[in-house]
Amino acid sequence: MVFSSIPFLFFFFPLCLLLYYLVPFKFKNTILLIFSLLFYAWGEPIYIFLMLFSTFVDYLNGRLFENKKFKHKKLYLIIALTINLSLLGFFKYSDFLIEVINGLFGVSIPLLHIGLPIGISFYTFQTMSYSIDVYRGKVKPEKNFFAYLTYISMFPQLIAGPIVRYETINQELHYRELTMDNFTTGLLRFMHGLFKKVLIANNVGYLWSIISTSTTGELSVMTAWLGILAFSFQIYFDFSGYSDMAIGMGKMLGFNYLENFNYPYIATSITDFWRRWHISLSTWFRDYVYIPLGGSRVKKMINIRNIFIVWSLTGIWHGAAWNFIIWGMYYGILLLLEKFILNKYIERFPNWLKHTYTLFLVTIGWVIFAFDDMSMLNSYLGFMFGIGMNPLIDSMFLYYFSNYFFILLIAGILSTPIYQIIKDRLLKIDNKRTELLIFIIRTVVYLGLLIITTSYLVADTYNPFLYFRF
Amino acid sequence: MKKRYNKIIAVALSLFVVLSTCLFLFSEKQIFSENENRYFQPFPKLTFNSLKKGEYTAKLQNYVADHFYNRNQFMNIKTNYEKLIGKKDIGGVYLAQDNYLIEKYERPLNSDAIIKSLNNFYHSLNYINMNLMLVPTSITINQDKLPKLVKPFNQLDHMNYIYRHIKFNTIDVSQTLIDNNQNYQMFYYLDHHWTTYAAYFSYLELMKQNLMEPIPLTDFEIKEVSSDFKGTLYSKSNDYNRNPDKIHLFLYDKYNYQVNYVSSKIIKDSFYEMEHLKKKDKYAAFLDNNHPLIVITNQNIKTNLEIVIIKDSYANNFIPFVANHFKKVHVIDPRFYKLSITDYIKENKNIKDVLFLYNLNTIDSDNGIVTIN
Repeated sequence: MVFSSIPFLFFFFPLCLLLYYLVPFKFKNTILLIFSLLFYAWGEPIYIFLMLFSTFVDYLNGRLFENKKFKHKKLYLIIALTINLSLLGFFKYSDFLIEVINGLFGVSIPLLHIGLPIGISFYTFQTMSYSIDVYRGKVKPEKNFFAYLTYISMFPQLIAGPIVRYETINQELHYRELTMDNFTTGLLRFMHGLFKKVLIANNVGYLWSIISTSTTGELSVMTAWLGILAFSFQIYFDFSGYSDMAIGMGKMLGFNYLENFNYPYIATSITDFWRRWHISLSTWFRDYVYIPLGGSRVKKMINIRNIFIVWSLTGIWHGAAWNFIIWGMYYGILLLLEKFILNKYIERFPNWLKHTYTLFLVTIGWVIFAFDDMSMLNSYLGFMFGIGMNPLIDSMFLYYFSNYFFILLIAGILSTPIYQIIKDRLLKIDNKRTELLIFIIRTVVYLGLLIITTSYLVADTYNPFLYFRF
Repeated sequence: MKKRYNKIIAVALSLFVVLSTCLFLFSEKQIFSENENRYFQPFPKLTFNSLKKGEYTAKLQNYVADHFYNRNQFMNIKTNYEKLIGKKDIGGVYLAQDNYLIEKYERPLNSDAIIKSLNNFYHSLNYINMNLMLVPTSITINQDKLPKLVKPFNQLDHMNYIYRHIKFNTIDVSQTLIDNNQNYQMFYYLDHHWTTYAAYFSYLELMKQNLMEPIPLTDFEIKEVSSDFKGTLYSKSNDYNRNPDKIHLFLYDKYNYQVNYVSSKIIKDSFYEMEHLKKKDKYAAFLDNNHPLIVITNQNIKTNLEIVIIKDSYANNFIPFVANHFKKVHVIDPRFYKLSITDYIKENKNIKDVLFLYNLNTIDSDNGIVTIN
C-alpha cells in the first residue's frame, strides 16, 4: 500500500489511529504491529515471511550477545550479516549478476525473474544496524521479539525510509508520550508530505515521462533540460514527501524520527549536497562502512579506496543496474576531487557560483540515475548539450514550459527555505487580528489542498511508486 | 495561541477525512458509470489465490476509488485546478478554442504492418473493387483551434504514406472536410466522432471516385434528435463548462431497409436506435454502437450489388448513406468479428465491393486490422 492512496488515507490510517488511541498503552505496540503487517501484506502477501525471517535472525543475535561472556560474538555477527546480505543480494541482485556473467563469459544462464520484495533495502539496513550496534555495545539488545518486530516493520518507515536506527527509538518503543501537540504537528507534517508527493512530484513526474519517452525521436536542448529539471523535482519531492509523511505519522504515533532531507538543492558543494540528501542513508554508510574501513584517518590511497567502496555501494543500493553503479562512482569521484583539490577554490566562489556548480553536477547525476539503458542515457545527454545538431528550442518546449510553469515555480520555491522563513515570520506576529487572518488563510489553503489532492487520488491517473528498485 | 490554531486546522482536516469515509460507507454504490461509460469495480470476492497474487487488494483499491463519494465532482475539481495552473491538455485531450475538445494524436507505430496486411488481403481477393478511406480526426481539421504552440504529429503525412503503398483505391477526404468545416460542423465538440455532415460529404467523395450518383443534400430530411450530447472527450477531460453537441439524422424516406444484427439475432427496420439518445453515449444511436456483423438489406434496390464495409465506429453514421446504393451492405468490425473475412466474402458471391473505413487514430491502435484475413 502507498500512503498517497484512497485506501490508506481514508480507511487504513484513520482506523489504525482510532484503535491505537483507544487501547491502553500496553496494547499500543500490538495494534501498531498488526497494522504494519497488514500494510506490508497488502502489496506483498508472500514476502512478508522473508521480512519476518530477516528480523528474527538479528533479534536472535541480539539475545545471544546479551550474555557478556559469550565468546563467539564476532562470528555470530558475521553470520547474521551474511544472512541479511545474502537475502538482499539474492532477491535484488541475482538477475543483474547473471546478466554480467552471461556477458563476460558468453554463456546464457536463464534469468530468475524474482520480484523485488518491497522495502527490503530499507529493512535490511535497519536490522543490520541493530546487530552491529548491539555488537558494539552501543545499544542494549531488545528482549521482546514483538517490540523488535514492531520497530522493523513499523509502516510509516517500512517501504521508503527513512532508515531509522534502533538507538533512535528504542526508548519510545517501550514508553512514549502521546500529546495533542505532537498529534497536530505530526498531522500537518504528514499533509505537507502528501501534498508534495501528489501535487508536485506526480505532476512533474508526468512531464518527465512525456519528455523521456517522447516518440518524436529528437528533443531540443531546452526540452531536454526541462525534462531533467522535472525529474530532479520529481525525485526530491517524491522522496522527501515520503519522508515527511513518515516523520509526521511517527509523531502522531509518538515516535520521533530523525530528519532525512535538509533542502538538498540549496547545497553549496557536492559534499554539502550529500549532507542534505537522504541523510539516513549517507550516515548509515558512514557509520557502518566508511569509518570501520578506517575513514579518512588513514593513508591517502586507502582513504581514496574507502571512498570508492562506499560510493559504489551507495550506487548499487539504489538499484541493480550499471547506471546506478556509475552514478555512485560519479559522486565518489566528485567528492574525492572536492576533498583533495577543489574545496579551496570553491570556498572562494561567490555564492551564486557555488549553487550553480552544485546544481549542474547534481542534475547531470540525475540523468545517469534516470536511464538504465546506456544508449538512451547517451542520446539524452547528447540532446542536453546540442550534440547532433538538435535545435536549441522548439514549440514542444514552449508548450510544456507554459503548461508546467506554475508547478515548476512552486517546486523551485519549496526547494529553498524561503517559504519556511516567511511562515515563521508570519507566525511570530503578535497581533490578534493578523493572527486570525493568517489562521483563516491557512485553514482554507490546507483544506483546499487536501480536497485537490483527494481529487487527484480519486482520478488516479498517475501515481507511481519510485522505490520499487531500492 | 498558535498551537490552538494548529489544532483547529488539524481537526478540520481530520473531519474532511472522516466525513468522506462515512459518506463512502453509507452511500448507495453505483454499478455502471454513465459518465465514464464503464462498469465500476464491484466489491471483490476474497479467495486465497487472488489474495496471494495481490489481485484482491488491487481490486479493493479500485473499488474504493470507483465508489468514492462524489467521484465525478472530484474529477471535475482536478480538471478545474489543472486549468487554473495553466494546463492546456487533460487526460489526453486538448482544451481547444471555440468549445472544442480535441483528442491527442501520437506518432503512429504500425503503418508498415497495416500496409502489408491490407495489401495481402487485397491479393487474396483481387477480383474485387476495394477502397480505403482513412479519415483525419479533429486534430487535423480543427488544427487552428488547438492551444497555442501545440504541434501535433502530421496526420496527413501518415495518411499519404499509407496511401502511397496501398495497391488498391484510396479516398482522401481531408480537403472536403476542411472546406465544409467552414459552413457545417465536421466534428463534435465533446466527442471523438465526426458529425453526420462530415459523413455525408465523405460519402460524396466515395461516390465520385466510384462513378456513382450520390443523393443530393436537399433530398434528405435533416432532423435534430439531441441537443444534449456530451461525448467521450467530455468524460476524459472532465471539463464540465462546455456546451453540449447536437446530433443530426439524415432521413431518406424513399427506401425501406432491413437491419440484421446477425450475432444478436435482432432485425430492425431502421439504422437508428433511439433509446440511446436518452443515455450518455448518444453516438451509439447510429447502428446500435459496435457489432461484429450487421447485414443491411435495401428492399427497393433491383440490382444484386453487395458491399462489405470493414470499419471502426466512424462508419456507423456513414453506412446509412451507402445503404441507398446497394442491395446489401455487410458491416464487419474486425475488433469483434473473429472469423475469416475473405471466407465470408467468397461465400457471398454477390459481393463485388469492399470499403475499409477507419479514422487515422484507430487505424494505428486497432490490432484487428493487422491480423485481418
